[in-house]
Amino acid sequence: MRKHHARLLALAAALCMLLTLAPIATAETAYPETLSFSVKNWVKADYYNTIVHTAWMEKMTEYMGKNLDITWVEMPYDGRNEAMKLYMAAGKYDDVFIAQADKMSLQQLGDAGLLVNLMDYKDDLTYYTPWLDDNNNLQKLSTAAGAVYGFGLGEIGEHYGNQQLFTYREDTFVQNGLTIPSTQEEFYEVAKKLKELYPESYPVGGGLENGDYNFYSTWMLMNHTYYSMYYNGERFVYGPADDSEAFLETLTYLNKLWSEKLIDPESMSQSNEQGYERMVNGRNYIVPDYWSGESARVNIDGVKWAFAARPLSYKGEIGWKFGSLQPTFKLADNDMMVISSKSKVIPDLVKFLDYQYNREIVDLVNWGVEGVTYYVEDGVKKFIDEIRNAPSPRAAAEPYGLLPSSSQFPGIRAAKERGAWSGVFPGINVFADGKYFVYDDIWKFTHDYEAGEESVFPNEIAPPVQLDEDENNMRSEIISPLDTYVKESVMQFITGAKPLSEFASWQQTLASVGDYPALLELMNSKIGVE
Amino acid sequence: MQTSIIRRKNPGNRISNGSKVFDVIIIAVMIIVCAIVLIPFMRVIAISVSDPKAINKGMVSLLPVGFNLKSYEVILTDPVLWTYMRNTLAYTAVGTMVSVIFTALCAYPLSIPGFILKGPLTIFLTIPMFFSGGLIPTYIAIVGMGGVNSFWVMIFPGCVTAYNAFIYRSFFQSIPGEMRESAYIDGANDMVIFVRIILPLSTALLATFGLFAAVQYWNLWFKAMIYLHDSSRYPIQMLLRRLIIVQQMTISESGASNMVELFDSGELTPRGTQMAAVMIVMLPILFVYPFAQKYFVKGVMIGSIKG
Repeated sequence: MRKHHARLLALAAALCMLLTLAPIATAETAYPETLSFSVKNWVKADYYNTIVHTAWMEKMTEYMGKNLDITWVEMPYDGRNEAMKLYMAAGKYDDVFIAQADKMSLQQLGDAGLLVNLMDYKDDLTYYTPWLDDNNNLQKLSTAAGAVYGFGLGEIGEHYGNQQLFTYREDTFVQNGLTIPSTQEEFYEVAKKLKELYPESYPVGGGLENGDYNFYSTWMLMNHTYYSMYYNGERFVYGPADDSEAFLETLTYLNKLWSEKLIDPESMSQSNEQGYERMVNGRNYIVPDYWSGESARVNIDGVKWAFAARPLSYKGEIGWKFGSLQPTFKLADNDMMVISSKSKVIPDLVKFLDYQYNREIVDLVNWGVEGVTYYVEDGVKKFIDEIRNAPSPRAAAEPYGLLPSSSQFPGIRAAKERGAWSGVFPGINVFADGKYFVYDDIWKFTHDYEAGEESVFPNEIAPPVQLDEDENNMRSEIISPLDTYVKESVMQFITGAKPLSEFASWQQTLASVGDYPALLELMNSKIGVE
Repeated sequence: MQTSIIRRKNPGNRISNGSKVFDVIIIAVMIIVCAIVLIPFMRVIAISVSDPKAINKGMVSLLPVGFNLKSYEVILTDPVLWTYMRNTLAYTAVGTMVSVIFTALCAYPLSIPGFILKGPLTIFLTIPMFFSGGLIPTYIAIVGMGGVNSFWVMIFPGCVTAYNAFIYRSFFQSIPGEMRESAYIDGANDMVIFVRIILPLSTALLATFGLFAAVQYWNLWFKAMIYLHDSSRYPIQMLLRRLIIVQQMTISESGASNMVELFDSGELTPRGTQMAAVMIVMLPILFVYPFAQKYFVKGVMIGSIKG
């Protein structure tokens, strides 16, 4: 009897096992193999199973011919700088991670054998190679020894526009019959007129705190100079020493604005919030280099701002500007997807990440699915009305998982296509062709009205310079104290603390602060210029 | 905190002029200190409930201009906030208990005369007070132990500090040894003595350091940033950091799209939202302080006065 019960029990257990195995045995699997790897990224791309990310997973599964088992290892976006430094220093990596670090740091990791050198898989880089071949990207991303340790964050531009524009209080200008200036002399006159009309104001404000988009840099670029070393289209030069006329002209002009109390003295140290306040409470009426994506913030309660082309240089030429797009494939050398050399699936990962540079994937993450999130009209892609005409197009794009929403990051660091990004920003008020109107594409305005390529700051398209560690250290040791000294001196000249008559003698002190001639010689030798 | 004012009395039992002047000076200084503390607090409250347009124009100083609770509504109705708050409450509750109990367990043996490992353990605890391994070795050690992305990585590292252990030890040493000896005679072992005699006599100590630990765990963010991979485990301070320091004006990492829309339409302003978030995060811990105040006053001088 006991034996009989034992047999029945064994049979029941065997049946149970078969039943649990059956679903596995009979379920349909797309592919026989599974590719498993981990990705450290700052947002889990499958957070909401959006349309775009789901479509991306399907495309990648089909392309790889394997089931995908991706472990998304999240890193907080807002702590990425500190967390990433620690992560990289610890040396224990996921298969793929996003490395936002300067090129030298990445190179050190790569040279230490911790990262995969993509040049070892050059023949497999079907889609990444055209990007590397464009715009000097290969030289930019490669080390002195010719290694490339990552897939740089890509950007596709269509023109030479940017998002930092001069902006003017349209309602005030219209009310007082003032004209938007097109030259620096006109700019001075209109600022003076505004001061007469509103004595308590400082007509020229500073807009947002924005790193190197500081006040005098904008005007220096307009006059074709710069406060530090830069590439002028032909060679590397040092602005304060080599552009004496333009540099002094800029300082003189700004000193004039300052001494007549036309520039807000707090504009150079204000926070973003203070900048907004001053743009709506009547303290400032002109803001150079304001980000056009933030126009809604300051167009409230009857206050209306309009963007316009920047004034011409003191010589009457088109001035340079920061942050120009280019109609090329651009790759970042300080923001890359890298593959750990300890990964067990390196060839698959190279193939996987290479495919992110395929136009099909770029279109998917930026535009979404045709017929669902966008349509094509006369060969031009447009977002659906639900997104395009929403009060906040970015917010409307988010549920679909579109990259231009700025809060969704589908896939793995696919390239940004600026055409799509223009589609999620509402049009801006502008002044051009003698009238005020709404301009649809906030990126393209400066391309159309500031002479396109002519206004690109040449330093932003400088030929890549390969420096080894010693040369990089030399560069830092020379340029850092010089920049600090020049910035302090520039403010002293502008505010009058140092008289402009001392400019020439001040120039003689520069070489004693930092040996810029030696640095220029080094940089120019690297690009084959004597 | 009450300030006791010592009155020096002259032989005729009248308060001297010097004492009065001293009192006036003390009161004036304390008023200034209170103002320095209260003014930013009043401004935070004022901005958090003011009309967004008034905030944008910089019209709000210490009193609200208009009245608008939209910022609170948006933040409080986002489920992510409650997830973060739940996490913080868990880290604080568990962390406080762990910190207090483990520190006491570490300190008690060091307070017993004749404990043979007293010297070596004291040196062992003293060295890390002055020398630290550094952030990277600590990170590697935690990763090696599998602590990344776990609940306990927010609790254990740093739950016992040598400094606190020595203060606990000083307090335990002030408890008469005769009580321990009589407990031994009655048949109690060390653990029974610790739990039933030492701890009940240490209420002020435990409450004070419990409060310190609670504030420490409430304010945690750095460990979360480097060790937690899953945003559903983040503490509430990560929300504040995102809104205020990074100025990424979304609560959840996916993007609270209604906030972006409200900013663009002017119904919300980032500054008002940030201040509302500050109030929401600050209020719970502010609420706890008055209840612990009596212990705090008693316990703040613990370990600093001998005899």
